[in-house]
Amino acid sequence: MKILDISHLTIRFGGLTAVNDFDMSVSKGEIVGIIGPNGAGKTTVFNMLTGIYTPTSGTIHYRDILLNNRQPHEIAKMGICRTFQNIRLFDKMTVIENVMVASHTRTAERFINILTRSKKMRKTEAAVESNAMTLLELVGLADYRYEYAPSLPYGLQRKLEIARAMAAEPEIILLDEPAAGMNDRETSEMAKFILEIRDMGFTVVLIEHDMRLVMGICDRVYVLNFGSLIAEGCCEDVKTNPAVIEAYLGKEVQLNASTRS
Amino acid sequence: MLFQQLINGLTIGTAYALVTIGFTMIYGVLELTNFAHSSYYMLGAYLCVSFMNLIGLDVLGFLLGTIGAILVCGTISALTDKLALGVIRKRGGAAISALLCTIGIQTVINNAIILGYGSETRQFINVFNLGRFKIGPATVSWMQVIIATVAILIMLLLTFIIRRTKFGAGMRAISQNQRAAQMMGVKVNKIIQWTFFISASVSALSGVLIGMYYRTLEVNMATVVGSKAFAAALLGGIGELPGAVIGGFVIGVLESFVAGYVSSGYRDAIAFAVLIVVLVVRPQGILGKKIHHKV
Amino acid sequence: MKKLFSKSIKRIIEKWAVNEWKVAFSCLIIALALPIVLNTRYLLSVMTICCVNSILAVSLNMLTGYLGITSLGHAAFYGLGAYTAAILGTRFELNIIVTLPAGMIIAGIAAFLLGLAAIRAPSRHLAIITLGFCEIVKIVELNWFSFTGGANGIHSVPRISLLGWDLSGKYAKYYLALFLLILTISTISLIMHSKIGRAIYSIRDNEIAAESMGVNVFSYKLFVFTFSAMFAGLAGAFYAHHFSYVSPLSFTFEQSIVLLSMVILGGIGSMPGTIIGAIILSLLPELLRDFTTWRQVIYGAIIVILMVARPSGMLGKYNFKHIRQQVKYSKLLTKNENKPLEKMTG
Ligand SMILES: Nc1ncnc2c1ncn2[C@@H]1O[C@H](COP(=O)(O)OP(=O)(O)OP(=O)(O)O)[C@@H](O)[C@H]1O
Ligand SMILES: [Mg+2]
Repeated sequence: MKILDISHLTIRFGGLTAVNDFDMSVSKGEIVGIIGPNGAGKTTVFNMLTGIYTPTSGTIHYRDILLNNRQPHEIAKMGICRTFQNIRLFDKMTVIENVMVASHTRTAERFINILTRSKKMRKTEAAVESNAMTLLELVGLADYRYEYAPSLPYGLQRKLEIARAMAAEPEIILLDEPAAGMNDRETSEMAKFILEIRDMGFTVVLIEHDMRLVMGICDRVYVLNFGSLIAEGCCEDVKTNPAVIEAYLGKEVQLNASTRS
Repeated sequence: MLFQQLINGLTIGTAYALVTIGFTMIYGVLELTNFAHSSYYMLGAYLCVSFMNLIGLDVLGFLLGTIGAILVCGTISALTDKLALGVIRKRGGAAISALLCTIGIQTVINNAIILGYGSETRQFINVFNLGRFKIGPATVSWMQVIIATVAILIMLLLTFIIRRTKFGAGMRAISQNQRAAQMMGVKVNKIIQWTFFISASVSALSGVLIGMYYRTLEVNMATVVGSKAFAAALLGGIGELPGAVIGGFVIGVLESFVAGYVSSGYRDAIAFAVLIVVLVVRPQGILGKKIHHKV
Repeated sequence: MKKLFSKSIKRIIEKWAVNEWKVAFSCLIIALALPIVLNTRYLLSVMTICCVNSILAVSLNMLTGYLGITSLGHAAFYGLGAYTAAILGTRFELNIIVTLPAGMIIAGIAAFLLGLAAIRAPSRHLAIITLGFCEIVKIVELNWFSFTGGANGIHSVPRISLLGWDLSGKYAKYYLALFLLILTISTISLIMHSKIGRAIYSIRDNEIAAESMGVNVFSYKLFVFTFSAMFAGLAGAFYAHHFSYVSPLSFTFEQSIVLLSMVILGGIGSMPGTIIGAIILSLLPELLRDFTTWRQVIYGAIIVILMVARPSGMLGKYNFKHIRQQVKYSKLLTKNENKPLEKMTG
């Protein structure tokens, strides 16, 4: 079942067309990859999907709702949540609080309950905390729960980003280079983890430079180059597509190995 | 009447513009709102009068006094950075801590002036006595012409320094990324201290000129000009020198029109109301470029 | 020596954090008992002012410390509250039961409208926008003679009374101010310890991430801006009755700066720090009273020295809640040293 449908998506920054006439669709339960050289416009697609940028033209539909002019927080509430390529954690909050923030839209609290610190409110808080704990255990950060986010090593910060996005209980989770800066072992752990996320019922859209990771777990891939879609389809087709090989000029050998930036 | 208001407004605007230039320079380099900045405007004027009393109440005395005032204010300003603001920077203090520190410096300077000179209005003798001339229905004094000329020269000079010299390149580098600039061999602290020196000198010079124009010195002249310079900087687009000048003029002219046609009591209120509207509608200011933050 | 010093400071802070409630309670007892010892009219009045300034600082801290928006116009809302109470009190002879909430509401409405227009602006603009608003309010107070009395201000605001009781004695006023302060502290603390508080902190730390996690940044900013102004209005309304006189000169931009200094000096984003900052900066002018001429210079110098010595304010670096959690967790770890990992995290 198609849940996300992007058509003719275009955005311009001044004279630069960062994304040009991009089409994409995502079905429930899929892992979809977006690849492309640096500056191809991948992150920009995520920024439009999550309402941070407003597209110049084209449409984004999520379950038949037009997302084009929605605010980021509305989109998060509807069920699309993301991680950031250039990590954006809450620096003066602890690891567990970072995750708890994302439960925001999933709990409703009347103001009077907060002012009286009612039993109901305390119960919800405890539930939010234990939910955050579960997620932290899942990504292996439970022992760091009371550390400040910036004190974590880089790889763990990326995992925290994922845990935080999961706490928002989205239907679609957008991962922007989750394995950047990780070594081979960590990368294959990340691959396994993304599969796990999918099996938990999340639909995943993944931007990644590591071809092994992408080819290993994605059901379908979209290839962007200079803002335009140059290929799409299952991994095998894309890998042998001449346009793709050309885009990664001279890198065809590495398509099978790992290319990283 | 209209034309006269315009000319008067432009003169006040020049004062604001001169103070704003220095203010916006520091903001451009450090993103620091320097509340002490307008204090040098007042201190400069007072010091110049003192020096003139020592040297002589003539053109020479005025020139030497002005130079003395500029040097003293610049040095104090550079020292505040070396001894206080720079230390806060080094210790990784929040931006707002530095801001509070500048408020402290401002309090010290303004009140030291009251202590040293008393709080009565003092006279600033105009040593030039050049008289005035008429353009159509409006009267223009030569002092106004001098002020405008000096302001334009200073603006050109500063633009040249920032755009064309090694020092200016250093300033621009620091404003973009202080750490990177440091690693590329830019002498960050030295350049920042010189920026403080220059900005306070310009401020002192404008205090001298405006003090002589009005022929009086008052202990509230810093606070009167301070928030206007702040407003002018944002109005023009902060960090932009031409923006500072335009912002200063706009505020000055607006003020004198409101005073002339609406009510002098509400003069400042309307100036600020316009500022708020501009900032809400056009956040980058009149000349500032719109930046699309990358995510 | 220096190391030993910072270590013992750290231990004290840790103890304080763990026993925050006990410390707060002891402070409350002291505050309640203080009038027994310091029972002159002057001292009680100074302590009352400490309470009023603390209300202002704590509410400003919610905006500046917790949300990260620097306001240079808090005194405007303080003034709006004061004028509301003074006008209602003198013209309609209304009681504090009405005037205090009215002061809150008027200040709140003003902040809401200003925020609606401006709160989306970048933070450096908000500083000048609030400054401008403060100047505008002051100028209106000065010039709208028929309504505000202009530069003369409003005299003989009714004394404080409640349900027929006269509460205008020096003790009653102090205890009322203390009560209002406790009300402010507890309301703001309760909010900050809820999901609303988490959302507010997240906005301070990273607006884009907060928005992307579903936090409605605009509404929260507007909420905090309004809410903090309401407490400033409350303080103002009390002030009007306390001195039974209001004048535009008490609510200037300089006053906003003093309030901001309290927050930053005590430690931005720290509730106890803010209160300490407020008390210090309320007492300092009184302590320097004998040095009238030098007072302001010393005052400025002290601010500079304190900021250089501790750039993040006195308690700004410490988050008591996190320290508590860390202490508890490290105890848990040492207790469970020999047990398997999952037990500890469970
Ligand atoms: N806010 C913006 N303003 C101007 N240009 C932008 C903006 N955001 C992105 N761009 C430009 O759009 C292009 C695409 O950027 P984008 O970040 O989407 O690339 P990417 O595919 O994610 O690359 P990478 O692999 O390096 O992350 C780049 O040329 C970038 O400079
Ligand atoms: Mg990217």
